[in-house]
Amino acid sequence: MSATSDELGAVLPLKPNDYHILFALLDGERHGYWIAKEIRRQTVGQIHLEAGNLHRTIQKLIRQGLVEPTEKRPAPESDDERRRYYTITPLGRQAVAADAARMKDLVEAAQARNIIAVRKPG
Amino acid sequence: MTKQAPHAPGLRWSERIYRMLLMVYPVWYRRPHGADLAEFFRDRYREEYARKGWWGVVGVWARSALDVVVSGLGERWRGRARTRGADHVLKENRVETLLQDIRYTFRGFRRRPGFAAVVVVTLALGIGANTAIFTVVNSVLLRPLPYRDAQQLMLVWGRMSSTDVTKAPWSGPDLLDFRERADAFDGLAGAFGINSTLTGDFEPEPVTMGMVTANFFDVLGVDPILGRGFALSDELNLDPQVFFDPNATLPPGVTMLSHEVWERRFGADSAIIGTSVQVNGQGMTIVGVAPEGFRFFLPADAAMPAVVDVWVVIPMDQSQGTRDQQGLAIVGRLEPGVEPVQAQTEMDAIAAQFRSENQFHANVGMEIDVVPMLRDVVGHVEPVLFALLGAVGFVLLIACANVANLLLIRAQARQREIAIRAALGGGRGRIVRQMLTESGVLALLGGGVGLFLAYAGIDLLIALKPENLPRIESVGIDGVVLVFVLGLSVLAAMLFGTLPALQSSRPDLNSSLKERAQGVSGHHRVRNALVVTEIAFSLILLIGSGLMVRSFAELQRVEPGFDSEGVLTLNVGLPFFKYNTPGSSTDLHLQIAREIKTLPGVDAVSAVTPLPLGGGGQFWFGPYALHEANDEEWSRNESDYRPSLPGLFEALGTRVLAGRGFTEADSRVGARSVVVVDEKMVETAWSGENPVGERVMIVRPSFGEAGFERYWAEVVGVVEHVRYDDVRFDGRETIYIPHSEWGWADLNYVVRASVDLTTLIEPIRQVVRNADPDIPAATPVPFNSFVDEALAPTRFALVLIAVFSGVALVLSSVGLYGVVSYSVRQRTQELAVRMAFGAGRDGIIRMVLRQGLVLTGIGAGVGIAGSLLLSRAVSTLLFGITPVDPVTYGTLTVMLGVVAMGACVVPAVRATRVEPVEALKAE
Repeated sequence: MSATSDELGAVLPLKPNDYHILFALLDGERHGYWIAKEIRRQTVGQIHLEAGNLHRTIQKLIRQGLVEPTEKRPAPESDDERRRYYTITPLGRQAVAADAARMKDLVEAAQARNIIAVRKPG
Repeated sequence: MTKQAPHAPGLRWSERIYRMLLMVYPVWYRRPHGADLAEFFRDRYREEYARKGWWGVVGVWARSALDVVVSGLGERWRGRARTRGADHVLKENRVETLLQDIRYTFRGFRRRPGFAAVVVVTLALGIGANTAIFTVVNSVLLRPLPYRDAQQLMLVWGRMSSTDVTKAPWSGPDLLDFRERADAFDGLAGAFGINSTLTGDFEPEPVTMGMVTANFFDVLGVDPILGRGFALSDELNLDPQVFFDPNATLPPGVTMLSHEVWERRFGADSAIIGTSVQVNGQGMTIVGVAPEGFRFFLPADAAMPAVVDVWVVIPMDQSQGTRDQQGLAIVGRLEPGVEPVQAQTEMDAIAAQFRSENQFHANVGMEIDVVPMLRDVVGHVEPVLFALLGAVGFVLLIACANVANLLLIRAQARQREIAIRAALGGGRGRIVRQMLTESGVLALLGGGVGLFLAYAGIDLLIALKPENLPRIESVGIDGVVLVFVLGLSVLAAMLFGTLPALQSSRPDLNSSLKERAQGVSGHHRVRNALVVTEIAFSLILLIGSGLMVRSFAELQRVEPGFDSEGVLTLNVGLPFFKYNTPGSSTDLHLQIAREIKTLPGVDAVSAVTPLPLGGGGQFWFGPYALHEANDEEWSRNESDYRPSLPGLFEALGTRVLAGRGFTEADSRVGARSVVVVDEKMVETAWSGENPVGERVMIVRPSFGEAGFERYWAEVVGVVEHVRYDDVRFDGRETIYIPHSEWGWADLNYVVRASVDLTTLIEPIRQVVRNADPDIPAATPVPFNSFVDEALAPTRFALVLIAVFSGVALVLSSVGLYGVVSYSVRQRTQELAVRMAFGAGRDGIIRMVLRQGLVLTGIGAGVGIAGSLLLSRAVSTLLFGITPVDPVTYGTLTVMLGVVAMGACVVPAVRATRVEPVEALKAE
């Protein structure tokens, strides 16, 4: 199943918060606080989503068809509370990939202009 | 099996309050998503509590409350825009309404400028005090340390379970073992500091030198602003024997200058990179300059000077040396994703290995503590700041109660106006909105003025020199503080605005429109409750400050074992590489002391290290034994070592209880080894028996090689105990040792004089310069200044809490005055009737006073109960009294009563001036 370029075009480019939420969901279904923590870890504390902002963004992503609530649990025995879990949709995956590709181009362009250093292996 | 959620006290209540707060969200958003938001809150609460304790909870609340208000109002705004969004007219109408309300508000202020001014000033006091203290809290406790990913940095300390020694540094071999065995850490670096001399083509300068492992700056994640950092190849790995050998020439090393030294000594010249200087006589190439203000933050009691002037790679081979040569403070960077608790678990296992592998670690019962760096650096000031934050919180609550009272009274005065507006079809919502707008405008004005007050107040705070506040130099207003002020203003507006708005939006049209409506009794009850709250909070603050005052007085009554009056002190460190033969440094010190003694007005001169209250005392300790040393006794007995010159006790003003002090003969090389002990040592070691003539085994550095040697010394005298570290704590048993045994120790001169001390400063410096121009030129400091500094933390908290409680008292008596005098005005007719029927002046005064006193009495009762509940929180700030000290409680309750009486007298007297005929005619 693949999304039409129209569907993708409507959501791209992703806002930073949208991107990070989708990225955090790549490995499976997660609940709200976990997502916020993961984003904070990935961005080394630079992006700090509060409950209100996070949920509003997730609701928006649900409306856009990039995320959906799920009844599935990653490991039912590790969780004793009825939390709401979210999962990424195929369209969401494509959006992350497309946006990552876009940013890769930007980085390469910046490297070509010697604005940022090219990291040497090792 | 289900995972047990971690226990977090207060969560149930917090969640309940949070769910109530969610009412800010519109119902169409709250109903589907409220549970998710609460779940988020719960998760975060648990985690933050587990990580940071109650501070974490404060942080969760601050962020969550702001988030709910901002997001909730945002949803409401968006919701309106969505449902009626198409209708631009409506939206414009709403903005128009708001502007109209604001204009109306300002018109009101112009009509009654006094009212607006009183409210704004009251709020500004409350918000300003909170902002000032929060700025300190934010800068000191909350902001991360200025290193890359500072939350990953941990300090690693030793804890010797057999001797209660904590925050013990480590030996070189320990550090190497940590690096090899601890997987939780990405890197581990060691550091220690010593005083030394910087020489070059300029006057020799005393500097503090930070000796670090080559990876030190990498672990902290700090890059030099000029030149390069240290590299592994900079480690010289010298045999310690070579390092301590006076005849060996050391190979040149490398050094990094602090920004301050670079500016002061080298005029910020970037060409100095690659040039040479001498540090402690060793040639060093300058390779880099550290960033401005760079500090290696450690807890105040750790083995490192707060400000380091030059950084040098430790030249000794770290694998040499023994486990008991502990000198390194160790900082480690956690691997990404590793939690502190995992590192602690790993270190616990390593500690067990250490105890089974090394005799020394087994003897002292060595444990390892992994402490997040920020918490370790600032943790000790948490109680003070917590207490202050609580105090200013109360001040703001009192201010809000006062303003609410004023608004209630005014709302009543405007009853007719509101009734007319209602009668003309002004909806209830519209009226409430108008009043809330007014509150909001007042709060924001108060917040703005408060911000200015805070700005000025912070300078005052810093001028109070809270010496024990780490990072005080970085205190300043930033974005977080601005958000705080805004949030606080909104919160204050909600606190004082809601009640009056709701009350007055339910006007009884009929009675209000009648010419002389009586107040609704509900208003009285609300106002009385507000005044009772104010009085209760004021009393809590008064009692808090009373306890601080009493503590301070107790503190000044302590006899520290010395007399600092009329004494000048001077730190003199001799260049190590010039005076490295036995006796050479002591001889020079004795010569300096003799020459200072000849200055006019000088009564006594001696020297000791460390200076009482001068800091650094905790690094001068060592073992002792009374019997042929067995390891168990050896590692159990620790005492303070105090290398000193003859005549010390006369110069310090310390009483000699038995035997004698040191003479010059004791300081000669080859003299019989002697010591003087203090009364505390006599209690511990000899059960109070006079020990003069007994032997005790201690250690001294062995000259010309690394390490220490044990030796027997004879006790020749007993002196009074001296509080070296802190006037609040008794301290440890002390052994005084002739300086000749510890030849390389710096000495602090103690000069007792009967003339103006300032006249001696220059002559003393001249004596030192004449003795050897290579001695770094320090400036003599009055001993009293160290004593002042030692009292500074207590004075800081004392002054602030006293100021806040004063403000609170003024605010609450104004509140009481307002309520009583308003009710007198309301009851004019009743009073007139009473007087017409023959009630005397005294009766009327008594009646009005009784009303005030009943309120005061209830408030005082609540306040005393609150103080008792809160007393535990301030107990760590107190000294010499219990937190439930009855004298303080009694005195201040009476004082509050007197002030409250004063506030009621004016309205009471006014009540007696009622002219019965006039008052009744008016009806």
